[in-house]
Parts: sequence; C-alpha cells; structure tokens
Amino acid sequence: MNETHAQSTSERRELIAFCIGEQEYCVDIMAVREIRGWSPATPLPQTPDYMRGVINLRGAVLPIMDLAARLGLPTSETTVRSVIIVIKVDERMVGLLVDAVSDILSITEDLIQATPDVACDRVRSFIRGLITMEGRMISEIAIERLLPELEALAA
Amino acid sequence: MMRILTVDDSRTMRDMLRLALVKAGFHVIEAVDGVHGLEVLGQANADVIITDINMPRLDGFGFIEAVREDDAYRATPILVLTTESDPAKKNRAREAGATGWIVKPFHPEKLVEAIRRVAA
Amino acid sequence: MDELEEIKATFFQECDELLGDLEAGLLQMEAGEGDSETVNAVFRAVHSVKGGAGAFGLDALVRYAHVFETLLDGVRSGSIEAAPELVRVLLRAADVLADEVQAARTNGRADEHETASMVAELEAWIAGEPLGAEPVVAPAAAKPAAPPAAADEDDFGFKPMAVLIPDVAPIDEAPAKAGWTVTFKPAASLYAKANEAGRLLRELGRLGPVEVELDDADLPPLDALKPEEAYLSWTVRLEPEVDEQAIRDAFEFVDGDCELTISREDGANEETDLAALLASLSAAPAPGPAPLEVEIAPLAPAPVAVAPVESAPIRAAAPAPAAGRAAVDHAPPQATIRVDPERIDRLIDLVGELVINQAMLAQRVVQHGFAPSSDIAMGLDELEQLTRGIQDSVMAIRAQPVKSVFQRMPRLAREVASQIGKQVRLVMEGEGTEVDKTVIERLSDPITHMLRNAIDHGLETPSERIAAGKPPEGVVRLAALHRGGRIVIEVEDDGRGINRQRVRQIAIDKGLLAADATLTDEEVDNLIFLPGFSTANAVSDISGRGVGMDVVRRSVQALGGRISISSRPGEGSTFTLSLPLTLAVLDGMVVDVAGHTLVVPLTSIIESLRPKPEDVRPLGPTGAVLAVRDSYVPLVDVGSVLGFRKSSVAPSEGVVLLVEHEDGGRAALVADVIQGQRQVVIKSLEANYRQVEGIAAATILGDGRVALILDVDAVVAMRRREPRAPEPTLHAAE
Repeated sequence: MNETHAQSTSERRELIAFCIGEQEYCVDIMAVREIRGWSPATPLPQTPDYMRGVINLRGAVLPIMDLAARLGLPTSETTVRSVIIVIKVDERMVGLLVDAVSDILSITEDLIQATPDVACDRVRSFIRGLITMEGRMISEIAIERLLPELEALAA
Repeated sequence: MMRILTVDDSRTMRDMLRLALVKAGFHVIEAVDGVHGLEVLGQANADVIITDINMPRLDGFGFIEAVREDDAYRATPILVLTTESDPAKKNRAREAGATGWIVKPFHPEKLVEAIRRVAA
Repeated sequence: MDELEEIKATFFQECDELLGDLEAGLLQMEAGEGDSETVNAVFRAVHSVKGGAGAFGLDALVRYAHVFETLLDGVRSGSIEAAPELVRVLLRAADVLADEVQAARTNGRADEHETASMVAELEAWIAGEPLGAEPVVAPAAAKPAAPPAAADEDDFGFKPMAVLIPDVAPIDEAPAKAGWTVTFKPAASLYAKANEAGRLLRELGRLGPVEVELDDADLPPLDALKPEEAYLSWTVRLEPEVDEQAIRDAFEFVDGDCELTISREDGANEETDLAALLASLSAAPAPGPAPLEVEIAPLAPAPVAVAPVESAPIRAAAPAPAAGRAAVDHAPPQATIRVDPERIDRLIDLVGELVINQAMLAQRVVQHGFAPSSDIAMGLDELEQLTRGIQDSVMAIRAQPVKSVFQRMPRLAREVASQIGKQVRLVMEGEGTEVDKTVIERLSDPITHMLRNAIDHGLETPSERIAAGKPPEGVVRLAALHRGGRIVIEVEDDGRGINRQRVRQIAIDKGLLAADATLTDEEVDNLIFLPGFSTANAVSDISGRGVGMDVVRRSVQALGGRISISSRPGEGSTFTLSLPLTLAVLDGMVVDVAGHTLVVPLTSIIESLRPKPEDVRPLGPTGAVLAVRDSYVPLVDVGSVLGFRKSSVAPSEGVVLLVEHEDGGRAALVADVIQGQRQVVIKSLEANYRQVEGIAAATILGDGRVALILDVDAVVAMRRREPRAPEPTLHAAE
C-alpha cells in the first residue's frame, strides 16, 4: 500500500486537509503547488462530468477536476469559499476543486489506517488511508490514482 | 595574460582545449578551420597557436604555411594537435612551419607543458 | 567535472552531426558525385569522432573508429579505390559507427558480433582482400591494418618529463660522476619554425644547474651577416644526475633543425655571462604584453656590435606586438553561440505572455472608450508591432533545419529495402529548410511512415521494375520546402503508383465506401487514409508496424497539418505533408458558439458567409447542406457536434465559416458570432491533461480566460460519424 511513500513510521509528513460536503479529505503537502480561489473554467467537450474544464494558471492551461464528482459524491455549487488546490503528479499539474481548505496536519505514518471494507470500490480506490484526529476522520487522497484516466484517451 | 588561438573543426576538441587552457590561466580565442583561423588572426593577435590538421576549407598544413607567410606571425609558436600517427604527417606539419605538436587525446598538464616549452 | 560532462554532451551532439555528414558524403560517393573533398570530409567525420572519443576514454568507440578511419585514409590517399561495393560497405560501417556512438552515449554496448564482423570486413579491405569480393585495390594498397590507437602516443607523443628540481641540486663539490655536455647548433630552419635557442636553453635550465658557453666563431663580419641565417652555437653542461632522455626531450621539437650532441665528459667549471643571464631569465618569467622581446634578449651575442634585431633572425621577423594589435583586445566575433534550449523555451513562453498581456491591454483600452486615434491606442499599436517583432525574432532563434530528422532516413531506407529485397536510392532535398523546434520533433514519425510506405508499397521489386522497363533501383525523393507559411514535406517514389481499382474495392468491401460512389482519382488515392482502411494483405510488417495511415493522418492533423497522396499509375506516388512552421502561435478567427469562445485556425478558413434561409437544404434525417454558388457543402453545427447544445441552430441565424479540410473537401461550420481575427499563442492541452477530440489546443485570450482552438478536420469527421451513432452522449462510455 505504501510502496510509493516508503517512509519510516517516525518521519513526519504534512498534509493539507479540506472539506467536500460534510467529509474531510487531505493530500500530501509536497504535491501541492498552490491554492487559489475559484475562477470560472472553460468547459471541455467530450470529457467526463467531473472535469470542470480548464483555467489559465499564469500562462499554462490547467485542467480542473471536481473532486466531489470524481469521488462519486454529490456536487455542490461553487461558492466564494470554493478553492482550487493545484497539485503536481508526475509531470502534470491538475487543479482539484474542493469546498474549502480546513487544516494543515502534521502526522506520522503510523497514524494512517487502512481503508475499511465498507467503503465502495470507487471511493476506496482513491483513498490511501484514514487518519483519525481529534475525533475527526480525514481520508488521504491517493492523488496518483485520480489521474490515470487522463492517459486513457491520449494513448 | 597569454592569448592562445585554437583552431579545430571539432567543437568537442575546442571545448576541451578551452577548458584546459582557461584553467591554466590562458586567454583563449577560437576558430573552426584554417580560413577562419586566418580571419581571427587578422583581428586579434595570438601568442601561441594550437591547430588541428584535418579541417575543412583550409587544413592545418595550409593554415600554418599561411600564418608563417604573415610577417606578424613568423615568430609565433604553433603547436599542431593531432591523432595522426603517421610520421610523414608530422614532418609535413614541421615543413609547413609548426613549432611542436601535441598528441590527442591530451592531458591538460601536457598541453600546458607543451605551451610552456615553446612560448615565453 | 561538470564542465567535462557538458563537453561530453557537446561531443555526442557533434557526433550526430558528424554521422550525418559521414552518411551524406558516402551517399554522394555512392551516387558517383563525390570528389576528393567529399572523401576528405568523410574521413574527417570519422577522424573527429575518434578524436573526441579518445578524449573521453571511450575505448570501444576509439577502436572501431580507428579501423574505419584507416580504411578511409587508404581511400583518401588513393591507395584503395572507392569502388561501389566498397562504398556500400562503408555505408554499413557508418551504421555500425552510429550504433557504437549510441552505445557510448548510453554507457551501453553495441552488438559485439555486428561490430566484430564489420571490423573483419573493414580490415579485409584494408589488407586488399575484401571478403567475398574480388580485390579492387590499387597495387600499392596492401597496407596492413594499423595498430590500435594506443600506438599513436608512442609515435610522437610526450614521454614523461623529468621533474624540475633546481633547489635540490648540489651546490658545491665537483661531481663524482662525469656530467653531461650538450652541444647545440641551431640551423636557420629552427628559427623558421618559431623555435628559439633561448627557450631550449631554458628547458635545459629546468633540469638542473647549467653552464652555458656561447660559440660565436661562425659569426661573419657585419657586412656579410644574413638575417635569415643561424651562426651561433652553444655548449651546455649539466649535472650527471640529469636523465639523458629528459635532455633529448627538451630538443624533441627541433630534431632535424639543429646539430645536437649529448655526451658524458668532464666539464670545466667556467662561469659565463650567458649562463648567469639565462639563470636570471628562467627565474623570472617575462611579464607584460610583449614577452617575446624579453625572451629573445639573451640571444643577442654580446661581443657583436649590431643591434640584436639583425643578429637573430627571429627578432627581425617579430615586430613589436604591443601597440598595434593589442588595441584589438577582445575575442573575435564567433559564428555561433550555444544556449541551453530551456532558456530559449522560457523566452518564448515569456514572449507569449507578453503577446497575451498586450492583447489584454488593448482590449481594456477599447473597453474604456479610447478612440483608435488616441495617443494611447496608437502607442498600443506600436507596442503590438514591437511585440510581434520580438516574437518573430525569438521564434527564429529556435528554428532548426530539418536536417536532424532527414539524416536518420537514409539508414531507414537501406534497412527497409534490404529487409524486403528491394533496391532504393534515397535523394534528399531542402535539408536546410528551417522550422520551429516544436515542429521538428513531430516530423520524424510521419516522415518515417511515409518513407516506409513508399519503399514497401510504392516501389516494385527489382525484377518487376526490369519487367516494366525501369532500372532495378528505385528512387525515393524526400524533400522539404516552405510554401505559404507552412513547411511542406514530400516523399515521392518512382514505383508502380496506387492500384486504384484495388483500393476502391477494399474500401467498398470494408463498408467505407458506397459501391456506386463516384470518386475522382485523387479521392480514391486518399481513401488509404480512412480509418479502418488497411490493405491487410499488402501490409507487411515494414510499413504496418500496427499503425495505419489513418493514424498518421490523425497525428498530423492534431498538429494543424495535412497529409495527402497523389499517384500516377506506373510512374509513382507522392505523399505531401504540410505543417505550420511553428506550434507556438497561430492566426485564428475568434468566434462564439453557444456561449463558448472558440478559435478557428485561419489557414483552414476559405471565407465567412451569412447564409440566407433558402441556401440551406436538409439532407437525410439530421443533416443539411449549404448551397455555395454552384455546389453543396455539408453544414456542420459546431455547437452540437461538440455537445455545447442539444439541437442545431438555423445557420441563417448565425455565421458560416467555409473551411477546407485535409482531403481537399469543404465544409460549412456554423457559429453564432465572429469576434475577429487574432494571433494566439498555442497552449497544449496535453501538457497537463490530454487530447480532446475536436479540439486542437487551447489559448489564452485578452481577458485572461482560456479559449479552445478548434480542430477543423476532426469536427468535420465527427459530424460525419454522427448518423451512425444517433444519440451521442456528451462523454463517451468507458
């Protein structure tokens, strides 16, 4: 499970936590390039519904993925609090549209638990593990799995 | 600072020479073949010339002969840089007026040593 | 060692160029067009590869290049005749050299067996006994294979030098062992080569304490003195500990230009003025810009009452270097500079941003109601022109000749031809044609494909050709040229041409064409690009490689390019590929479609129209055509094809762009409003996302938002597909 993040259990990692509806998720801060407010995206034809389109990120064309839709959760209207978390996976940048940023966590690897079987396969496949903290449950997104879809049609 | 003109059609070799010579404290100017070498000498002086033999347009022999015909460069030391193992080639270079020679691949110390031997 | 690594990278770059030159030269020789300079250039290429490889200790490469070079040296000197069969061997040897270079580049190993057998073949030619061929060697040729490269050093390389240890030398007592006596009489030729007695004496001085005696007995009276002659000789005594070889080495460069004796004998301890002079000289290296003068001074023989200038020939030849030439104290202008390509890419990106910013500014100026004649609007116009100028110049920096792609093709042609038993001569033209780097990188695949196709399908076998009254060797011409602001690549063969009957039948059999369709010859030829068209029984593994021409066409279209074929039965076929000169900018028409802003490449637009309702005729269940003058053109509602709206709008309510697509056909694209023409900076969707069908790329408009650039050919193709999939969902099911 952790082969891509072979870290010792004592090594601390920082994560950015954010809300999608009532749920909390997080991503490794090392993958985050920046966090910016929502601006209208230019829709792309012939793309899945969780692709909101593309925006101009200082001259680069950045695809925006509605993370709620990607995870199969109900999507909500974008608000002033909506943010785009720009992450880099391999050589690609993608913006994740989420409801709001909630926290920055500093954890050790042993705090991460495996995802229980109750979750549906789609959600499980995007979750690296669960973190329990101060009574909250925060799921870490396996960002590299959000993206293989990108390759599907290009090949 | 002593100024050295290197004449070689190989960019790799020019770069190698430059690296070794600059490290040894020389000022380096470059030309890509004999014709270019003469042009460069027309614009800037050189204290020592290092030249390849096999070059397009004007080869090392022709270049050396032309340099020696120029009064300004009759006394300028010219080192021939070559992998040629043929002694006849070495003699041709000498007949053309080469002062000495350096065998490729060269060690930077030996290059500098050769320059010291022929130059002030 | 970073610098060395950098030079190594340069070396491999240079190798690519040299290998290209090598092949080009050999091909010229093969075509019988080579002269002695061609042979020299071919030799030089291999020689330079070897030289550089030696510098980096790439021994395998040195060894192979050495054998190759030895054979070429024989050809160059005329001792081995450049017969056609030899040139063919040399071409294959060049391929092996390329493999060896590649192996060295990747720290890998080339095919040892291939290299060994090539070496054996080359050595056989060097020995005058080519393997499996009649010897074609001039009498004097039987020259043994040269020894390995290491022998080079032995011949006239440097020997280890004695270490300079003047301080350690004993100061006092007479040596127990006899010291060295060196007598040395320079000939005039020594000075003519810019060697100097003074420097040789200095070299000896480095070996230990020396005593120097000048013999000026031969010096003629002043009126008989010839400036070019050498009159002086020296006797130098050295300590017995000095190594004889070190003494000989000091005279290495002047061997033959002086009389030299080196012997051991008792020396008298006479101090001479010259020795003192010399000692002071070697102790203090000459500073300043005119070292020659200081150096030469000791040569002036003291007793002679002439100026030193006359007595030493060297001196006469050397004018004061300080004044005149020192003024030009900068390096001469160099022909080229080398820049990290990333820096140029960055510059191009920045200029792209500048163009966008300029456009944004211009848009705001209009929004704020400034008149076009106002100072600020006019200033902006000038800014726009400057920006364009900068952009063009920057793009020109990155332009590269197509040579880098072309030079890989002769080998491909040889390999393909030999695999399928055909004979081919590849003729290349316009290798110097320049295009932007972004395009160069994308040319290789389509050219490779077209070339394979031309040899595999286009050319006949030698026996078929002879039967058809053609020479057994086919000719394929690969050419690059600029035409209409695009780069055009042509691949032309003199083969059999397209069998239209058969192509047509295949298309009908595969359901790609109605049996009763009437097509022009050109349309039939271009059927081979249809998706699903694969002349299965003719596709060998050569051109096949699992990819049909439809895929080639798709990838070319994705770049805003076109590809087509024309054919003359019995005479051959011509593939024509055209691409924009750059993939960085594009002139486009900005239009609104269903609330979306789209950019349509100007190169595909023939004209824009406002159709009257009566010009639009329905055709079939959902289709419609537009009457344009005498012909009917299919209407394509861009908004519904891209899924921006559910149902088509009436073309008469919007505007229609008449476009030409790749096979020469026309279509009428329906849009709502034309905003205007603009040059846009092309931004890849693939960099961060992927290709999107119907969209060629994206750009950023003056308001900072992303707009999509339409892929005209794809949109037209999507419209054609529609009837077969009556209810296309917005996102295709996975």
